[in-house]
This record gives sequence, structure tokens and C-alpha cells, in this order.
Amino acid sequence: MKNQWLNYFSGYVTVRAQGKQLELFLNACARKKIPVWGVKRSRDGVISFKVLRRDLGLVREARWQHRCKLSILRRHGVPFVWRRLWNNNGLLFGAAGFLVIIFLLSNMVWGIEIEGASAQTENKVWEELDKQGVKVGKFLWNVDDLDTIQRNLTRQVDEITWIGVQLDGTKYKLKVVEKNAPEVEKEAGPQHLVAGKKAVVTKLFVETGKPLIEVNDYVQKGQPLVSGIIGKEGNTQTVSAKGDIYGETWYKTTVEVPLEKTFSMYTGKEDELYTIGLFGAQIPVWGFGEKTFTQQTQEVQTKTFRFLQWELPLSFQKVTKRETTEVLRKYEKKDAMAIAKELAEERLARQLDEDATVKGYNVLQQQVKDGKVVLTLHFQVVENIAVPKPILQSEENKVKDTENDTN
Amino acid sequence: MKLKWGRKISNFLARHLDLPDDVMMDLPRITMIGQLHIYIENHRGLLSFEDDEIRLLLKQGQLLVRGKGFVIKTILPEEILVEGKVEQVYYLSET
Repeated sequence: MKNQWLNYFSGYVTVRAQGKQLELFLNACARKKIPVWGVKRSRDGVISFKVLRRDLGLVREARWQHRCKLSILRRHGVPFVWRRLWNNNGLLFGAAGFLVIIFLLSNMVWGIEIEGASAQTENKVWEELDKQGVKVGKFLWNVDDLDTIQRNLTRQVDEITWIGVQLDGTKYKLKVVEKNAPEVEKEAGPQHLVAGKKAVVTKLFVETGKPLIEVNDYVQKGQPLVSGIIGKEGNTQTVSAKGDIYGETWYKTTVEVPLEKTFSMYTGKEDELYTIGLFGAQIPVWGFGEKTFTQQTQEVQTKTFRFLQWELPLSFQKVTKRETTEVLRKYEKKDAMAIAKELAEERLARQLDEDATVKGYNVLQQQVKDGKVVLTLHFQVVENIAVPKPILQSEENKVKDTENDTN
Repeated sequence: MKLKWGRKISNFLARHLDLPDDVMMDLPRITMIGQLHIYIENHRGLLSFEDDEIRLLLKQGQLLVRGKGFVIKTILPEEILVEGKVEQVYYLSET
């Protein structure tokens, strides 16, 4: 009729009519405004025509008055095709179901491997993973991204210094570096111990070697502390000098703290935007980012989907925009000083080894300049100043040479 | 007499008001596209339909279309579109 395509969607049938008053029957159809098309006479007393599926009932009604026999020759259109598929083609659904199952299984966590952790730490990591919902059998799109897992684990499990999280296919691989991992002590060769920095020696603890200094000695950087050459003259021996030499050292730290500082804070207003990435293009599906904040931070979370080992060119992205405001913070001079002191201590602690202790500090300089508090502190620290220095072959020979000379 | 008057009036109107004759006088309007299509408006029903002949009732008389391989593309109460090879069109008057 007017649009064959529309008929195709609603479905139509080819009907064969047999009888004597077929013309009257067609007239009746026309009078009832039943759209009938493609009317052909195939034999004497037989015509075939097409009619919409939904009008078939009306056509049947019309035929009663005209004593003709109707039979359906063919069915055309989407509803019939659909029914045929539904009836006969379980295979199609089976195939679709199979693909869906493979797709789901491809996006599941199938294994978690932890490497490099002691049994105890490993247990803690497992517990933490459990809490975060990283479990075997979970869907990958329900699990946080790698960076987040990594950050949370490092924060929550005290025993680890660093953890590397990798996703290898459907398996998480975690590499742990523990804080108190027993250090592999290298069998040191013959060595002296020298001062790593200038200091006043406060405590000597020599395991092997000949101490060359005493408590309260002032030592320069590079000055030998413990000699690796022991024994009396004429009968010397080189050993690996070992020990801890504690000395008082000095650190000068200058910290600046601005009296006024602006920083951004979240206002709590946020807008979420979801997009589906298809072949690199982002199609918004929910929220169109209509809210634009004058100041905002943007967080983008992307979930990708995979099929077997391939990553599909399909991803789901969530963009969260959070409004921020600039907040001006003002310090009194006294408070600024306190903060500066804390900062200085923090900065110092980062420089020092764990076994170092801060004995005290002096304020060297304290002034306000250009709206900033400038604080210079002088710290007294007690720490191990011994640094190993290997005994060179030539040095050894020289010792022997002098021995020979004396002989 | 009455009928004659009516026809005279409609004839007059058709001629002087430039109204199409088919509207005024219930005449069939036949449109043909080469020999491929024949489109007839204002018919009064299908009388017979064969492969090579179609007979339509008009208000006055009948219309006979001869040709080959006729297929009715559309049939509505007053319109009919026939496809095929149209060869002859006849008016059969009642008298």
C-alpha cells in the first residue's frame, strides 16, 4: 500500500480465495475499507490477494456473505518471522546465551595471587581484599580499579611498604614489599668504618675492628672510626670492621609558612555523568553535565569490558564533578611558628634513619618576611654515623710494605 | 424534468465556475501511466475481474478495460488502481 515497509513490520498474509462471487467479495472488502492489494486471478474462480494480518478477521467476516473459501498461502512480515524464530530456533537463543555467559565469565575475577609476603602479612592482605570486595567470582566492573585497591591496601595494612597490583587477564597479581623484611646481610669484604658526617661521638659499639676514636671526640666527615686492620704491628690482619658509632650531628632546617593560604574545599555539591564509550567515542547516557560549577574537580572512573582475552571497544565511564570553593586560611604569627616547627620536625624525620633520635633544637632565626613566617631551626640528633669503606688492595699492600720496612 | 434541470445546472456551473467535471457530474476520472497503470476514480464497484479483463460499474454504464496480467494494487470504495498491460478501454453505455 502506501508504505510497504510499514506493512512488513505489522505483518501481512497472502490469501487465496475460491468461489463464484469473488468480485462482490472484493467490493465488500473495499466498502469496509479493508486495505487489500496485489489482487491476482490465478485460475478461473480462484484469486489471491494480500491483506494485513490485523484485517484478516474482517476479511473472514466478509466472506460469509459471498460463499467463498479462504486459505492462507503465505505469511509475511516481522511478527511471523519472529514467531518462526521463537518456535524453531532454540539454537539462536542458545548461541546468544552462550555469548552472554562467555562475556560474563570473561569479566569475572578468577584468581588472586599474592607474592612476596610472609604468611601473616598475606593473611592480612587477604582480609583486607575481602573487605574491599575483591574476591574470586566477583565481576570486574564491581571491583575498584587497580590504583584504588593499591592505595587502600597500602593504607590499611601496616606491614607493607609497597604493594603492586596488576590485573593479568582475570587474575589479580599482588606483589608485596614488606616493611620488616629481613634484610639479606651481605657478607662484607674487608672494610673500615668511617664517619658519614661530622659529629661528636657519644657512644661506641664496635663488633669487630680496632676503634680509633673515643667518646666525645669530634670527627670530620670521612675520618676513619674503626680500622679493619687489626693485630699488632708485624702481625696484622684485615677484617670487616663492624659496629655502630653514635654521634651527635647537627641539622639546619629552614621552613617557610605563609600566614595566609588559600586552598580549595569541597562544597558537597556534585554532578554525575555517565557515558558509554564505543570505539573511542563517548556517548552520554545519563546526566548530561548540565551543572557547571565555577570551580570543580573532576574524577573519571572507567570500566572496560572484555571478551575472552580481548578488550571490547566498549567501556562505561562515570565522571563525577565536585564543586570546590577557595577558602582563605589565616594564621596568627604564634600558630604559624608552631606549624613551622612541626613541619621542620617532620621534614627532619624523613631524612633520618629509624634509629636516630632528636635530642633537641635551637631556634636560629625567626622572622616574618613577605607575609611568610621563616623559621630556621638547628637540631641536635644522635645517630649512627658509621659508614663502611672497603679496604683497597693497595692499602693492604702498603701496610705490609711498612711492616717489611720496619723489619 | 427535475433531473434534466439538475443536470443543466451542474453543467452550467462546471462550465462557468471552472469546476472539474468529475466533481460536478460524478463522472469517472481515469489516469493512465503509459500502459502500465490505470487508476480509476469514482467507480461504483467491481463487476468482474479476470486476468485480461476488468469490468467496472459506473454511475452511468460500465467501463471495460482489456489488457494482460492485471493485478489490483489498491481497491477502495470509489477508487481502483490496476497494474498490468493496458490495451483497450471501453465505455459500455446502458442503452
